[in-house]
Amino acid sequence: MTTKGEHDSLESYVRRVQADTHRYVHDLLDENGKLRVAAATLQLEKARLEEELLATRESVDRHKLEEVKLERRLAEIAAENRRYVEEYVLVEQQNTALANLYVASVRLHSSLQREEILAVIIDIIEFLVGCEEVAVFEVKDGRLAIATSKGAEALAGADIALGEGPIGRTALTGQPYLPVAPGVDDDGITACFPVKFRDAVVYVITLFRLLPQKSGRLQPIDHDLLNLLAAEAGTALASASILSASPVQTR
Amino acid sequence: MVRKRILLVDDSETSLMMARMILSKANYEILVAKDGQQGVETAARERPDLVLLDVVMPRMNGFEACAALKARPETQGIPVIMVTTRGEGESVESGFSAGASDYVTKPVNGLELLTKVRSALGD
Repeated sequence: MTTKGEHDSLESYVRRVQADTHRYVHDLLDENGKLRVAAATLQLEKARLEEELLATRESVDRHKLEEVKLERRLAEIAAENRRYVEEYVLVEQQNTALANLYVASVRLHSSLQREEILAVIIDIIEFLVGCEEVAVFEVKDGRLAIATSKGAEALAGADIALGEGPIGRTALTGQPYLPVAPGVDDDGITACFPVKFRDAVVYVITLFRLLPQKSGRLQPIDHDLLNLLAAEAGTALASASILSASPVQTR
Repeated sequence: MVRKRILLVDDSETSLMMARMILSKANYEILVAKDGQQGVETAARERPDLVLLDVVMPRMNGFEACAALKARPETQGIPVIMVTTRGEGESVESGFSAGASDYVTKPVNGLELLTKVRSALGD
């Protein structure tokens, strides 16, 4: 049996515990609510970040793709550029070749005096072909004698029979002579080109040593030039001969 | 636009015609002199933007003409390109000693000539 005092004290204790418990539960619920909100916020944030990450990844992928495309385009442009440079070089080479031919043709027909035309031939071979030793032989009475030369003075007085050696053979056959191996032959000759008038060989241009920058061999452009000389010089020299024999001479 | 002027000094009509064709096409105005002495006088009178100087010439050779151009106050600032027949060291060295800024060898290659001319003129 409890006394009234003890009963009151017990009841008061129970009420206090109930109140504490109630407050505790309330606090827990309150805290739980806050945590739920925080968790939901974090979930939202996570979802947003995941979305952002996905977008960023897609953007990175797009940029990587774009980079690959740009690199490919860059390589294409570089290749195109190289092609243009090569074409430009080729066009300039062709321009130089055409200019060479034009200049040679104009210069050959710039005079009607035999000596001047011969000087022009030497000039063309020296400065447009790049040969420092050259001689032009005239075919006369079945033999060849030097008409003019530069750097080949040792040949002065040379008297070659038709068919004799590369120079004589060029005069006889009317075919250019080029050594089997590019460069000079045993006679020091780089090339012989016949100068013709009406299919008859009237002169033979003989190239001995080329300038050092020519690397010892004629280029295709040189052959074009020498072929033009072979054709045009004959006409120019024949015209000069006809004029010199004519009573009316014009300078 | 004012066309730049180039003085060609060469006694070979063939070489002059060739250089003139290449450079006129690139829109340069061309002046011509037939020997070193005439080249120096023309340069002093005309003040071209560039001089292309052949080496082997009558009256005054290219190296002498180049040295004369560099000795005169009115022409010393004009760049000079030597046009040599022989591209060997000795020729080139003589050109640079005389004050030349560059050189090209004959037979002239159009592209090489244009490249060196443009470089000397800062084009």
